[in-house]
Amino acid sequence: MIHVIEDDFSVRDALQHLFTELGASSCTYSDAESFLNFLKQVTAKDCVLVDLHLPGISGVEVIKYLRELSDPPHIVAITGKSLAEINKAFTGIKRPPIVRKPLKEECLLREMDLGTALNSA
Amino acid sequence: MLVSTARLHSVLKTAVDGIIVIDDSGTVLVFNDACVHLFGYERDEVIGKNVSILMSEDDAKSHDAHIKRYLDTGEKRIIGQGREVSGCHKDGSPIPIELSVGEADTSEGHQFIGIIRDLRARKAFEQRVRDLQSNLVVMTRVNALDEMGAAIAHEINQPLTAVMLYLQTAARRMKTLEEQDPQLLSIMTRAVDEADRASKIIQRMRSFVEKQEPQKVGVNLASLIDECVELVMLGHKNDNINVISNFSDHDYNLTVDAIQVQQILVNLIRNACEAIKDCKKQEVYVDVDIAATDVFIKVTDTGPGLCEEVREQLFKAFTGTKRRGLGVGLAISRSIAQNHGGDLFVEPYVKGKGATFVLRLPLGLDGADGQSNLASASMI
Ligand SMILES: Nc1ncnc2c1ncn2[C@@H]1O[C@H](COP(=O)(O)OP(=O)(O)OP(=O)(O)O)[C@@H](O)[C@H]1O
Ligand SMILES: [Mg+2]
Repeated sequence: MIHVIEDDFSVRDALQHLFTELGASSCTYSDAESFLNFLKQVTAKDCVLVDLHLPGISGVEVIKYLRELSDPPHIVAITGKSLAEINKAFTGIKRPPIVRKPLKEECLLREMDLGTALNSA
Repeated sequence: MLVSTARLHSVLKTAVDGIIVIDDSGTVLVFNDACVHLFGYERDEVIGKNVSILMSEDDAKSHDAHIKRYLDTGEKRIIGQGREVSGCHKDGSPIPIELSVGEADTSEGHQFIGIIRDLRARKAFEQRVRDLQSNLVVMTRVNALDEMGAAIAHEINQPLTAVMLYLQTAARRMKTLEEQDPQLLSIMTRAVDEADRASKIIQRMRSFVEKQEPQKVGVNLASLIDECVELVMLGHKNDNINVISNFSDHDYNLTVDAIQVQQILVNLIRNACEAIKDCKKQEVYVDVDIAATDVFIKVTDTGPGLCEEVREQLFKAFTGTKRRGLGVGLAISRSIAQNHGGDLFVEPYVKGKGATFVLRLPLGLDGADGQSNLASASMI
């Protein structure tokens, strides 16, 4: 299962279409809060795609929560932020793979561990 | 005679302008209090000396000759008209002054009277206005260009991402269809290429902006704010607008990119001044709250305020309502604030109240303004 946390509707929708086309099942969330409700159901087989710039709880916070899970999933951050902002957001925190917007299919799929996500679909 | 001497003394003593009297050989006979103050010499250091010690080197050399030529030919160069010249302080520094010279035939011979007006304050003011004006131009033009690029890049990123992904997904889907349509596929591929081209432009714009990281240095927050107020007031000289900074702790320093923070504040104060133009009460306040990890700079006005619907759109580029504005001020300001690790937001609408914009800036990491706070925060 691929979890997409992204506040922009079109980006979220486009990602979901892409994954459906690839044969992977995905779930989308417009903010961190609604995703965190489902945190317990996330497993190591999942892939979480999280936008760093979210209203409310930030993407970096989500990443921290995910890493505390006993069975953490594969995490990929997506962001339109500048390098400086990315650096600042991740001071003292290990970075996941980061794909910068505008997203391209190739870059995204390269960073996502789609093997596991597809298998679990 | 006694009475008039006393009167003369009191005139010399109370005169705001410098008064010097010399004889026809250039020797100083009178040097009043204002002159003592202006030139830094005591009276007895000057009386009896040649007046040229009060002049710049060039003027000093030719002064005796000037007097002589005037006495010989009667040709007036300075007498009867004021002129801006440069005097010389005791410490050697030049003093801009306005000098008017009169003459008198007395029982003690021909004398010249110089009235000297100190132009330092006026010169300093003129220089300041020039500096501020050129600052304003630099700030609102050059910097705006990069920041506008960043703002645009940021806003276009989202729809562009969606377009790319939709197209790539559609192309993928086409390929799996039983009935192939090579032409349609080729058109879609070209559309993807074009979207890619647009995204490369965005990336180029972004890397151009990223080269210009904020140059953070310790600056005095109170003077920084005062300067912004002054800058904006230059454009509102004849209006009844009152801009008041309530922060006067001149010992408080903050580590920021001064130019960029000024750009934000100038924009906020300017917006506020424009918003209150037609209001009864025309006031703008700048307040500062210093919290544990951040400084909050608030700009409040007595204008109509910002209702809910408008607030949503405020920070998006090109949404301004002014005819002459570009409508990018706030979008740029927010992106600068965020580039600083801070933020820019507007307080909720209260009926009957003006707008309050809040600029949040994090306290510096390097100890100049609150390292202990940050360190303890990150340990939690
Ligand atoms: N203090 C305020 N009170 C009321 N409305 C405001 C205030 N500040 C901004 N606005 C509204 O927000 C809009 C956007 O402001 P912004 O600074 O982004 O652009 P602008 O001032 O129109 O143009 P410029 O690019 O020259 O700054 C303004 O046109 C104005 O309608
Ligand atoms: Mg503006």
